[in-house]
Amino acid sequence: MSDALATALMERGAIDRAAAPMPIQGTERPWFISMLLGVAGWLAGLAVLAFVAALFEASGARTYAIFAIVLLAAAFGLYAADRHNAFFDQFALALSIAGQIAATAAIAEASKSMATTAGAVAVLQCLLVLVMPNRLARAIAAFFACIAWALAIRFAWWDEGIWSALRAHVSLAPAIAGWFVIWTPVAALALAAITGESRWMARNERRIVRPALGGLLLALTFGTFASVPLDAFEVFWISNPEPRTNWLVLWPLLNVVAALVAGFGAFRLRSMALLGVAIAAALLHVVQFYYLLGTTLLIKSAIMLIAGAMLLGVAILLRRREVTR
Amino acid sequence: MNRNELDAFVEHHQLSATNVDLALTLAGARPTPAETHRFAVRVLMLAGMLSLAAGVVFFVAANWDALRVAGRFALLEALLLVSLVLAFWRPPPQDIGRYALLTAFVTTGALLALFGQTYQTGADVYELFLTWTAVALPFVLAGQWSVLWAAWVLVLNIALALFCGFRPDGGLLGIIFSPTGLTTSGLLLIAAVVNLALWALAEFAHRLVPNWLRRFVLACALSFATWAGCLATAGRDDNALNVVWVVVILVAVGLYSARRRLDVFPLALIAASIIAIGTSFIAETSTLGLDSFVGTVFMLAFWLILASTVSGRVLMHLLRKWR
Repeated sequence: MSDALATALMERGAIDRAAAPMPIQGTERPWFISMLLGVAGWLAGLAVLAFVAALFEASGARTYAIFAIVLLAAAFGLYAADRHNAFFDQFALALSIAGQIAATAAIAEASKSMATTAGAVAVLQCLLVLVMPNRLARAIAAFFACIAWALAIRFAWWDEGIWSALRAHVSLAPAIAGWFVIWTPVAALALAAITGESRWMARNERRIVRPALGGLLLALTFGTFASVPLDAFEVFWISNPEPRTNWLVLWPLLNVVAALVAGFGAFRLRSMALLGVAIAAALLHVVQFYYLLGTTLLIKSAIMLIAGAMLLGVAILLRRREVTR
Repeated sequence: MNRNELDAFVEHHQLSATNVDLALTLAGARPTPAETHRFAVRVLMLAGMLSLAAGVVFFVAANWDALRVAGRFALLEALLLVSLVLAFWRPPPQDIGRYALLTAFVTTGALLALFGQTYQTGADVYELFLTWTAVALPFVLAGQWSVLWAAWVLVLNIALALFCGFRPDGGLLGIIFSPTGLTTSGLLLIAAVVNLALWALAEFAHRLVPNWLRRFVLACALSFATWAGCLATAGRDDNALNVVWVVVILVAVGLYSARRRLDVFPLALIAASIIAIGTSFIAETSTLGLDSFVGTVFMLAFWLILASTVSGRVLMHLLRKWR
């Protein structure tokens, strides 16, 4: 396929006819193998940190900070030293995850603030996207950067505790504004990366932007669950939940929109796997909307019916436009 | 060519932004405006239909006092009727017919839930899902659409998970399986076998069934097998011999896939299953007090890194070989 493309580009003068043919590349890793390695690496990271913490009887921000520095430096060293050894890659991923969790623990211990911790983790993850010389590590870091960013805004805006199931009433305007403040920049970044794809592909930035784009799109599908943290399913742990209006209940529906944006991005990038993930996420967000407390099922029903009618209306209009063309 | 291959191509030939644009167009890596338009219409249509169906389900679940029981039934039945009329008017494979049958499928579930809610039949939740799969099967067959089949498989698997995983005594399956004395892992293996049978059918009709749907069914099968394996190795379940059946299932799927040499996805599922069962086993030994915490987490980290590395290497080797 690459030979055919090279020939077509040569015929159009885009490639010099004397250009060396592309060497045979190693087969690209499919999404399901990346997922297997990523999940296993993440779990291994947890185990590595638990092992190190138990071995050295860790406590206090300083100890965790030292762990974080050592583990992240070791991960970087392993990635940089041998980029094609599967064992070292996987070991480096585990060390990197362990280092990130240790850093989170250190910041949380030192700041005693959820918002500061989440904000600092978002910055750390952005740095890792730029620095880590590995595609999977960059994609995972971009994904967690978005989640940390979402949590930082949530905790800073509503000043809630992470384990608190009960939250103050949030009215309609701040609820909607909050969601847009969190997720519009992420969606805008992803769409800008897709629109300007040919520009950054032509530069070395592709090594950073490509995995980061994957992480951003994934965050728009499943990362959005993190922005509705614990009261999403509070119906399961409060025996008789007191009915109260909380317009954060709309967030899962807005998350459906985010998942559809990610689906559109996946379609533009011809990634069927990501498109499937986006569809699955959209459906799960609707299920979450059903369970989330904050308004009555009657109002939720009306919202769904109106949204459905509007979507069908737009689809019919678009179809007519296609026919009349 | 996928995006990473295109990146490598661009890097090798040092293409300018204009030429990258040309390469993306020539490689068909970007959808045309017509494709984008078609995609948008389909997504909006499907999202609209599903939103309407969800709206009706929410409405029924709201138990609105102003609407009597007969009215609620009439509402759902009317929606079902409209969906079926639409499906007859524009029969599948036309889009409208398919979307209408998907709506009919969802409405059937809502109707069954309303029936259970109104008349307090005392049925277990799994029975609702099981009845749903049976009643809605004609719509799925008529739809000739992989999305409808996926929805049907999902509902069937929810029924199987609720029965096999949580073992309620009532219902038809309760009557059939209670006297057998099967353990939870044994029941989960039956759920795995049901999915494997569906997978075998899908493989037989592979020209009609898209790859993603076959993968989905196999993922369901091996999820149940993994769940059974974790329980059987944990020692809480009284039949550790079920591990043998899990191994038989994994080996059978592996051998079949190795013979066909078409897709490494089944082998990735097997690897994931082995990693999950191994992890559960190591974690369980620590709770039994056989090892110290430090030793256990070290073993876990070592196992996870080693097993995933070996899996990744083997899978990539096979992927290259089978291409």
